[in-house]
Amino acid sequence: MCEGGLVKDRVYIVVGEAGSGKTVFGLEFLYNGATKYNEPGILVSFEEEPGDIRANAMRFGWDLNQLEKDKKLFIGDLSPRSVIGSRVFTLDSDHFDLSGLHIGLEGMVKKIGAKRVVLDPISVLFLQLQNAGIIRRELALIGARLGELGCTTIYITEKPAGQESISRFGVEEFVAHGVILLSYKADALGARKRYMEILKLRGTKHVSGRARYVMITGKGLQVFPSTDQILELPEEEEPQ
Amino acid sequence: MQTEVILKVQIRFFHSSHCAFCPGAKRILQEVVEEGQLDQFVEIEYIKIDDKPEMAFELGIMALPAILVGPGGNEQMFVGLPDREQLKSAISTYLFGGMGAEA
Repeated sequence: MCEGGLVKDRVYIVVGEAGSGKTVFGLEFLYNGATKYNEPGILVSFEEEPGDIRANAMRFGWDLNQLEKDKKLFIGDLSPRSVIGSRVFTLDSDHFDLSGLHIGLEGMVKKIGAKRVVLDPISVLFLQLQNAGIIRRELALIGARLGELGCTTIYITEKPAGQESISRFGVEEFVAHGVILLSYKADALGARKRYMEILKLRGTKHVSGRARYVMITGKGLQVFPSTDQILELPEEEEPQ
Repeated sequence: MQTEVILKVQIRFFHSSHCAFCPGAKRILQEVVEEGQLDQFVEIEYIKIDDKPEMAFELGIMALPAILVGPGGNEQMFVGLPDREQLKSAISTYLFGGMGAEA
């Protein structure tokens, strides 16, 4: 789909409808980093509880428990159960920042030498803390700092079904160097199929238009761009 | 000999060196305690997140300033600048509801 993958130390948005495979995309990014490239990773979950994430990953043959034991992966639980739980929650939505998350992430990046970070899904932050302006600014600051620390970061977010806007709050894509759209649409016969499209990717050439992909046990996402799309990419140079 | 049991409400104030609103929230908390003459009934712990980066994930503290009033697992959480009356009411709930910690 692009010239060898995502450019390091940058921030990307993966946006998609429910069921499109956003979380699997993020998990595969972290799992491959830890197992193939010796790049430890951090997953911050704002929605799913870690136990469910580990169980879902196991369906693809990804043993996250082992990665955590080996300090190749850290899963931060900021799901509503962890942040609010049984607490009575009172918010002043005009006077806060995300320095707790910022400091927590920076500390864990240094602790395990993380090179990859996934926040899934950031849309929960907008719903929970309500002030889109503050959250946008904080996400931009966190992404920039993670880049300085040598991390490639993915913000996962939801696309509302049937809306033109790419992301639910219409703004998250402005804080990123690249946007990847995942969709899950019914064909003429009603069979649902998954598609991936790179909407923006600074610093590297990429195919235009959407490409089919499937999720395979033991392999993760398998993408099938068309021949026309592949031909649009630059040819590899002949060795001198 | 008679033993006096004083109930104290546990308050944890989370702040960081980067947090612009933390000094304001701290001032509100201190004024609420002072105005209500609650000094002997509350126990305030000031926790600087900078020194404990794992705190965000261990306690679900990502937005600051954050004030937790009451015992763990059954707290009232204030994020941002707390409303004085709501904060006073939260402390009263634990104090007069007998949910504080024995001192």
